[in-house]
Amino acid sequence: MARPAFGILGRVGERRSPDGVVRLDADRRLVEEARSDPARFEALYRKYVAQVYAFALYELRDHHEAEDVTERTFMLALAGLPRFEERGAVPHAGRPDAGGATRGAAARPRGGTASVDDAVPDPADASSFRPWLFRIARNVVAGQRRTSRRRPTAPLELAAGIADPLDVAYDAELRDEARTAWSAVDRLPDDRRRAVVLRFVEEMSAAEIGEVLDRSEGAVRVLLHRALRAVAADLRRDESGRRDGGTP
Amino acid sequence: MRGAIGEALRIDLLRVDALRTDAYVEALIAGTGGTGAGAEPGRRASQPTAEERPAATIEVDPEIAEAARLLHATAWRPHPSFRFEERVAARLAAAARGRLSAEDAAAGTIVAFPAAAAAVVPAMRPGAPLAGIVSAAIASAALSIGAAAVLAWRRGRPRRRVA
Repeated sequence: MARPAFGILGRVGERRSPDGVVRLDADRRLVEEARSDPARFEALYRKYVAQVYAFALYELRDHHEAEDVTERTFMLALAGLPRFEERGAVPHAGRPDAGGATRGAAARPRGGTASVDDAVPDPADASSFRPWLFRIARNVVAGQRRTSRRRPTAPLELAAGIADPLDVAYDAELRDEARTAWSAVDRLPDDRRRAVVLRFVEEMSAAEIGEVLDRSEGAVRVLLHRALRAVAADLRRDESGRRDGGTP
Repeated sequence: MRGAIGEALRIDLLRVDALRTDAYVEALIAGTGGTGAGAEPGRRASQPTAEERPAATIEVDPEIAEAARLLHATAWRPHPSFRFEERVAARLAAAARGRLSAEDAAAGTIVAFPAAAAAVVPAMRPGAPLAGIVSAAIASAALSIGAAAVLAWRRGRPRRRVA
């Protein structure tokens, strides 16, 4: 899956791993093709449509609204593609940050040359297009919420399909635990809940989530840590409730 | 002074714990080769798979590890319907060909279906002579005015009585 390539070192969008191989942004080729011929945007669409849809569904808990958000996200992405700037620093794991601080746009390197020290070992599939796309999705979701003027009413575990009694994939106990865990996620503050969904459902790195939520990487790690602590506390309560013989 | 040091220490410890938790989650995700949710349906979340064992070497609060394993094992990735996916792909293709502005499409603007518009109003096709359009509009307006005049004349005229 890794796409090693050899070229000019230190250019934005390229990351060098300790083995000296320069890795290009995973979506660079697709983005460049779509820029030169917008009809080829379809490849990026096919790659990310399910992820964007899942994010929208977890946020809005409504299938139709999620479809609407997905469609508008990709239309806006297509329109905004010429303005998209590939950023080599997106998946950077070692960027200094003040935990909990919101990172300003000015702090992000745009254009110019990135030092080789900025390059760190990253997952080979790291992309700066994906966080950019999800930022659009996040904004479209916010707009959708303003328009519909209502908060999602369906519980997260229902939206996630965990409570589906016809789903034989989960045994009863795991389903109970899963329901407790996702209910706990549902009760988290928006940013923590979003971070959990992006981490566990979309499998984004903390750095990518930081780009989406406009937070530093360290702040995202703290968000996730606190979120998991809250989920663990709920699971503990649930477990002790079951042990005591009563309903949790 | 002591309070400030204590607070700084607490924040540092939180960051270290958060780093460990993140490393653990990263190992969990990497362990399944990115297949993520439902890789082994039915498996107890508290039982790490062979792929997840590397994660077990990272020191992290066992309760947090349990929660992470559970979320990882049960995270569900919904997929949009095939019909929806194809419909959006067609709209994106139309936008890419310039038949539909992507901003308009995103805003939900309704545009005429090109084939139907061309079939019903051939004179409106791009490149049609302007004189034809203008004379059609004048003829339409003249017909409307004529009809209105006839109606007014008939209303104003007393009805003929039949003996």
